[in-house]
Amino acid sequence: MIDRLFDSSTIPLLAKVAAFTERRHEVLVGNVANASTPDYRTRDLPVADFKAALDEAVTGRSPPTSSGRGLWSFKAADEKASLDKLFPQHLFRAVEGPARTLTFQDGNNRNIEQEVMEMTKNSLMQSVAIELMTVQMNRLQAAISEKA
Amino acid sequence: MFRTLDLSTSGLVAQRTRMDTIAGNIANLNTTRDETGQVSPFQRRFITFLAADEKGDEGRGTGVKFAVHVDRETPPRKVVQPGHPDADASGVVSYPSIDLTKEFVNALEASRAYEANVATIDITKGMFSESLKILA
Repeated sequence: MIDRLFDSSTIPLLAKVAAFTERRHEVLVGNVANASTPDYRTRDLPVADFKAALDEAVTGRSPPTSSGRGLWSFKAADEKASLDKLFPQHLFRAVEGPARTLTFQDGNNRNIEQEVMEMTKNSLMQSVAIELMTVQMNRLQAAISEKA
Repeated sequence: MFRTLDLSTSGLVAQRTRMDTIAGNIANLNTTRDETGQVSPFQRRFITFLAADEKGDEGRGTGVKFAVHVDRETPPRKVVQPGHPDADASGVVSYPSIDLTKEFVNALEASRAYEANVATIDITKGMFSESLKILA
């Protein structure tokens, strides 16, 4: 019963977003740590692919059925399996960026401003995901304790 | 998340060590003897970086490894100073071949890279405390 309550919210998706942003942050931090390493190519997670997967997960939700009591759910039956299928492991694996630029002679395609910018956007995204999760939890709490 | 802090730390340590080598080079700009007192010009130290890719961590963020080397190739700077106690038979003193401009450019880059790593630690800490809010 409580599982169904969670599944019908966006919490499973938000958890994926938080996990993705945290892993991406790690990869971006690695880029800054290697700002002086010759022949290092900056890495990133496949953000566009993740966004596409997220989009698919949101639009692919099961509509309310008579047994579902009007709740939109993430294919509640095998929710775990389908979420893992929607967000395959390769979305969490870093890939190397484009080849060397002509700016630096050491073969490193560093771009600190870009990295820190992406990092800031990424951490805001994580903040949003967690804020939304907290709001939903609070709403659930309100419903449980019958407070407005 | 803790691993992320380790990556930043590897960057900090690497850049600080780079700064150490630069400081040592500049301090020994005119050193003509080695630590045993023998006449031998100081040899410039420099650092090399390497992405610390570990087995099993493919597709994740990576830290940085470093190694300090001694430049034994560059010939010393020769100055004619007949009265100098470390001068050779023809009155020439061998000084370390350290280029201050190069050292300072390196120092500047090291300190900027260090700052960048500190900035990433700040962002990591922000994300970390954000994650803890789920517990609330």
